[in-house]
Amino acid sequence: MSINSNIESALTASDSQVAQLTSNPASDHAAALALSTLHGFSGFTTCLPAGNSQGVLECVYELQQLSCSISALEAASLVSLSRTQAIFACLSMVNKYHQRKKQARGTLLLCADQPDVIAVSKMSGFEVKTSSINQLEDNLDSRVAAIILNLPSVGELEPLSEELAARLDQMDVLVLRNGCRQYLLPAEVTTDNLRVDLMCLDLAHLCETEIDCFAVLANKKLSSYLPAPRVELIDNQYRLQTQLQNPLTIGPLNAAAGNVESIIQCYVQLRLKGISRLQQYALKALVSAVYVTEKLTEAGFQNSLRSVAGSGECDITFASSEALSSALQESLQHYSLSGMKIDEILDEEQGVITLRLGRLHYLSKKQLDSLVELITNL
Amino acid sequence: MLSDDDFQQISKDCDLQQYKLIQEMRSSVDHATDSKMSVLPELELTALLSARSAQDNIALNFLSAGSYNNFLPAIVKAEQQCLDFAKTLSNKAADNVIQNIGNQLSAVAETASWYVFADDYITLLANLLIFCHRESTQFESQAVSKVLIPATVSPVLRQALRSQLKYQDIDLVIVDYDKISGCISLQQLEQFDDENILAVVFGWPNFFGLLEEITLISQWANNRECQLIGLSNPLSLSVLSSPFELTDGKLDYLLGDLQGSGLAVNQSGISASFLASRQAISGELKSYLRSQKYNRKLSFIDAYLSQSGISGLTQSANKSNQNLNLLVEKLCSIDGVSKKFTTTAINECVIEIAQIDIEKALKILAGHNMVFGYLLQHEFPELANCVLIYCSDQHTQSDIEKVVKKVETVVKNLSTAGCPVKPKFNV
Repeated sequence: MSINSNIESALTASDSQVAQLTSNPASDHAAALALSTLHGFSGFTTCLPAGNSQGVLECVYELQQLSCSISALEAASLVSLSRTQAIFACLSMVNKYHQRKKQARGTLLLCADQPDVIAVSKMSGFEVKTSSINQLEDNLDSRVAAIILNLPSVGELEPLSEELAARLDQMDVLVLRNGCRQYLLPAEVTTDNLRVDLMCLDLAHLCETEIDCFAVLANKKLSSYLPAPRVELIDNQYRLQTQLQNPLTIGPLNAAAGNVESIIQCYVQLRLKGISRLQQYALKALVSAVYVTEKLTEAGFQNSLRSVAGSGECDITFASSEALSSALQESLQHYSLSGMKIDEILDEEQGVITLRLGRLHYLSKKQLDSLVELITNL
Repeated sequence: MLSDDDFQQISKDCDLQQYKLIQEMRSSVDHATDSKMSVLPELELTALLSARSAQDNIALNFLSAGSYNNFLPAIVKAEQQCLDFAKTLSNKAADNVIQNIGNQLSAVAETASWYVFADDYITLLANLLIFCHRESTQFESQAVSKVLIPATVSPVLRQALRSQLKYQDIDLVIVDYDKISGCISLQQLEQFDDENILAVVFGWPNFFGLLEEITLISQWANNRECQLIGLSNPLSLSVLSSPFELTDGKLDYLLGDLQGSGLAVNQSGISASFLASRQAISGELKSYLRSQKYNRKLSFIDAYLSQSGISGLTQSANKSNQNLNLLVEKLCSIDGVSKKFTTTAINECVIEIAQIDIEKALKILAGHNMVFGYLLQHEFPELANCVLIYCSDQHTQSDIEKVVKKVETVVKNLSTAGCPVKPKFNV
């Protein structure tokens, strides 16, 4: 398949605009790093009196609000330290919701390729059944607690029909959306027709920060069950809402209120870029990833490419050798000079090296071409 | 995969000047959020966050509750500020960092079997208990699911562990402590003599900064063939005898948080952890326990240990304890202030301030930008008027004198015993 000419021209046309719109990623990263380690923030622990932590708590509260704004959901908790913890939190909330309603629900219907969910479901007491969206209705029964779908993105939107949404409501089956892709709500999706009760959002990926940061988001029906402690605003004072104040919560998952350092880094990135600009980046990243994937396929790499078009990333696998490994490290320095991390060497085991190409939205079409050339010359 | 039509649509949308779809779909609520939290240039955002940070600066902080604000050498701070956005560690380099930390720390507990994890220590403990439970179901006809965890272990840890193990067939049983010594007594454990126990978990030192009767506990656990798991941290271990030696090899696992070894206080309990065992752990257990491969914080711990070494940890812990002893001694010379427990304290100490409204006292001190310890009465109702206090190696004698003077004034002003005006009526 030849590269869609529209993509090529769009990439060229958007380069100049992206250059204008894009702040320097190295500069944003430096700002996030410097501001997240300010002295007043470094000393924060959940044991401190709220009166001595108003600055940190305000940042956490505002990132909770921004996450709600991104996801169009009601409430957010930022306490999860890893993807595993975030998924565990979601599944515990599903469990608690049904237990409180005295509904015996022990099955999750997984409509996406998500090995993380399968692993965590064992810790949450669920049995997992996989199903395609088309067969979802046939697999629904009185044991199903929730269905799990990918996060919506341009690449893989899984819209639910009105009939199916109504049936889920009637059967009191929850909808959880999870994924690690570039999060982008397409035009046709609105808050009204995005059928979702719970969402696990990878904020670190979205905001391009280094330390894990996940938002677990819920609609009104499930907001009380979110993991503790969340920050709330009462009488103009920010405070941590613990299990003592909210017995409905699934409880704390770790010794803190999330990783405050990574929360502030995400907050800084969001305030510097804005939500809509991040959405624009996601869009550009998707197009760029598809472009690179197509180019590499044309160059004969089709067997070693694992395209994850919906995520704005693609993985490419090489047979491993020491010479190749050092050549890769050296060659990719070129792309690191501008402060970007477009490369990630994922796996050096079992005789292969997997290179993940992501964050491609920072590259112009010319740079993308150079990247393809670099890989084909390796 | 995207269809060609999708691509055409995206391509059109890539004309960013015409790109409006996201903004259009936002609800009015979203608009309100966006306008309140508008995009800011770096200059303005820096001013905003600097003001918030300044608001949170505490002049004198004597609260720890398990996190350690010990001195970080400038070179470690510089490493933390280092802009290595482009630097990605290969798996091999990450393994080297982990191995290096383990090798350096193994000296503090005198065991060679020391493993470092990127996961937080509560997750590590939860996974370890699940593994032990799974093993017990494989080899015994009746599953053993009861885990004894004393009330002297951090309340946050107990709550988080309960959340993590909720859907496992593991029963967490809280063991009460002796109200005089502040530690678990053998009598408390003997209540469970007739029951099958999967594991006993204890703090070394415990949440009150006290050293449990480790020899007695280990003998009891050994007689019942249950796992004995200690919770500790390298800072404490650097000045204590090895718990493996003290228990004559009966301690099975020792695990804990690595925050005090090169990370800021806000990383307490969330960034990296360790597990030491009396013998090498199986590859199966290691892979079971490790859910994250590496995080950047491990490099800072490596940098700290390379710079300070174990002797740095020991010096830091000794200085903190000297400061703590001085603070406790001076506080106890104030009327109505005393040490709550008889056992020797390390790192932290529970003091009781009798006959005053303790919450009011702490608020007054906070008004002077002093955080005077952790109020225990919400989680430990029997410890009314008790505060868990801590000193770091960074506190000076002048800091200690300043807080003691202020506490003395507050106690005097709030103390009903010292009030010269007696109430006329019984209300």
